[in-house]
Amino acid sequence: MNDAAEPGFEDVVKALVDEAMAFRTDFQYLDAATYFGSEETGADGKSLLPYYAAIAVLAREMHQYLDRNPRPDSVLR
Amino acid sequence: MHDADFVRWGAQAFPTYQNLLPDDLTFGVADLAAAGTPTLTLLDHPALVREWTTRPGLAVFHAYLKRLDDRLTPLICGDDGLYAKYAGRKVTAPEVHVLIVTAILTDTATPSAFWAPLGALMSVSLMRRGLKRYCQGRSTPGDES
Repeated sequence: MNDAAEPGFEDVVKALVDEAMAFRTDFQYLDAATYFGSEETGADGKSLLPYYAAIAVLAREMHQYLDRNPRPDSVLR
Repeated sequence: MHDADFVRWGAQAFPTYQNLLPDDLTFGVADLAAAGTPTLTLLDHPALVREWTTRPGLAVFHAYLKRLDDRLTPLICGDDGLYAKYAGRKVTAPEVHVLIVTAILTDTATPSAFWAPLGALMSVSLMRRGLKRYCQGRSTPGDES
């Protein structure tokens, strides 16, 4: 564990990973293979699209939040 | 990312989404993370999976990975990397995630609850996509190539 990590960071990460692993991936999205090719599915054959969608929505929301509430670590290095 | 999508979508491109009900895309996830109670469950919704979310998300994922290559490639790939250890059952999936998220956030932000959702999403996407796949085409300092 990194010395700079907040106390409890490891538990926070594990909980978030559990939540992300539970994302619904058992649905078909339009013609996804045409749009995304091999990027559509993961090593387990399940869709990766919910994760990409979540990354976009989260990145957008964090950007908006940081515009309103700057932090010392606001900018990704 | 916005510049690339702007060519096709104009003001409706990520992250502006003008006239695409942007308020419906704000779930309070950043506020919860800032308050020390991060969660990702709010983002688990099939209605979010659209071309205008998945395409930018995929681009962000790969751009972020590229920025992290110097850090993640030696951590994950090679004979002593996490992929080899995970395949050999020397580390568990949760341990791999913690190491990857910590490496990602130490390098680019801070290992904090605020940034943890982004780190966790990156790590889960990376592992579901396949660590072997990530390492293909990437050489580590110990490689003879």
